Amino acid sequence: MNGPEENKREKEMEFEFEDARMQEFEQALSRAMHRVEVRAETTAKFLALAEEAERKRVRAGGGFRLIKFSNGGRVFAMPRPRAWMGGAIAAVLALGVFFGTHVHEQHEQHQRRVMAEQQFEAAERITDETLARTREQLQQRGINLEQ
Amino acid sequence: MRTEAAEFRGVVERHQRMVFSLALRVTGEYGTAEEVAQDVFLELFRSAEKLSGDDHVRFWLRKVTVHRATDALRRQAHRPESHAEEWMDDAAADGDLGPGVGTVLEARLEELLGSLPEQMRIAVVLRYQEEMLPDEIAKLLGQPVATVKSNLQRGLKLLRRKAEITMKEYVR
Repeated sequence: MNGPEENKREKEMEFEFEDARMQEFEQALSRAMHRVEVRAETTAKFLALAEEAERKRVRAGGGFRLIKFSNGGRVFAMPRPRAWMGGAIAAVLALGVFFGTHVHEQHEQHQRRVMAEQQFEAAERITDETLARTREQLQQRGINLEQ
Repeated sequence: MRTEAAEFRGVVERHQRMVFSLALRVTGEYGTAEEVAQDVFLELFRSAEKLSGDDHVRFWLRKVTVHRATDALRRQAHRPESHAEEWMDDAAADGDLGPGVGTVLEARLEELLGSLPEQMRIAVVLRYQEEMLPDEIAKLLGQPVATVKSNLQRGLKLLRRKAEITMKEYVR
């Protein structure tokens, strides 16, 4: 019969043995699980897919793209320039200039109108005041215009 | 990172073995793995501008591949049929195996891997194929480290027990 010390040692040896076997198994597993070689036709499929996607993207004209930088910054990138883009930009600018001028003229007309109205009101007020003052002076001299 | 086709070609060539192997070991089917890898690379092509640097690309690829492969696995109505011998033969023909490594043993281990529950299988694949540490796996899968360690330990024990039963000639 084994004593407690012998039993303990036996258990320790069992654990060590088990541990060694597990390590051996892990090594076999690591060797078995190397990355698989990809067949040439599979690679070709992956690349064809990318080329098709690129073609579609080019046909669609790209569009605005959100670019994220490694430092956390983000910016919208312009779509890639297309042949018609120059004409479109020129047309937008011409329209902008036209409408800008038109709006400016309208604004100036409005300002002139407001100023004229203000001047008229001022003149009317002065006339009324002068008339009232004259009427008062005449009344003081005994002349009543109401009669 | 720009999405030019030529640059993309380089990324595919650098990472296709990793992506395809992960997809294959999680799904257990060559055709499904091929579809998963195609989806992953297409998504990479679309998302390339969000990624910066090769480490970021690798992390993203591993994460998306595992998710896509898991989805594909769940869609499969039947248990994945393992074609381990088929693709192990391919790998051997390519001279990819180290000297003295038994292809039969490896093919059997691949088959047994396919019989593990999903989460254990994923943890084992990431640990032994990708040589990732438990905390790296946890970050990738969005799981607690303790869960990953438990899945690894249980998966490994289960795999070894199955190997002992079915491969007495190879496993002591």
